[in-house]
Amino acid sequence: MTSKQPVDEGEPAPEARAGEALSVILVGHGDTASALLTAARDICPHGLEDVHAVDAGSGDCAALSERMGALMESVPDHHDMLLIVDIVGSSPWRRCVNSTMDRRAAIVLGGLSISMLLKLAMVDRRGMDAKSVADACAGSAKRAIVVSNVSAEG
Amino acid sequence: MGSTTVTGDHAIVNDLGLHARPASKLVALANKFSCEVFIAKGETEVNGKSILGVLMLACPKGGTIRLRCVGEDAQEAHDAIAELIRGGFGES
Repeated sequence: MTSKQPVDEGEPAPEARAGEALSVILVGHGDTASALLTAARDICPHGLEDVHAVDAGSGDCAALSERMGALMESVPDHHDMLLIVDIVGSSPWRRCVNSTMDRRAAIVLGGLSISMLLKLAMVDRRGMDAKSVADACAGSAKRAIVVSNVSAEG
Repeated sequence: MGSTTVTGDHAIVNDLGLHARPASKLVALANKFSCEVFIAKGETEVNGKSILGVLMLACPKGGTIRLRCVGEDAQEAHDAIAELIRGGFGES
């Protein structure tokens, strides 16, 4: 007997999202942050309008710090902040951690992927804090990793 | 008072199958209804309100999915989603 179980909890209607006090910033090496954001917006036209991307480029740390600083200053102090970075422990990651140290509520999430962004687009972020959104995105990204032996499956 | 369940099998007709953009459209539509929406392919059933769940089905053109809606507006949800699928999600 096979039991059928939903694999995910689903997302509330994206159009219901409004007025959230959470700022989301993507940071990635090269132009991965903006490229992934563009790709995710192509799939989900709504739900990522308020997400910002910062491209780390080819390693100019001073320029990255400047861009991060400008973006952080534009985020109101009362906003929760979620930074999603491509590689844990990388210099962009370190920059994000350092930049958010004095903020009231900031979460840095590693492993930026398009699965995370699709979850971000679909989830109703109203009333969710940065940690809850980060957990939802991380769970989605983990579930999206599948090893499929196509030749064996036929 | 019992909840309504509406179930139907539907063929995927668009060339690229149930890929990311169609999945996004399906999930966005499903989320407009209060009922629960489940999509199954073979023995695997997923939450039709989760884009990742729908994508995990990896359903190609010609494949059949079973749509199951449970709740007060199940019939309306089923009909709307079935229409979206029949129309190839607006793709060729």
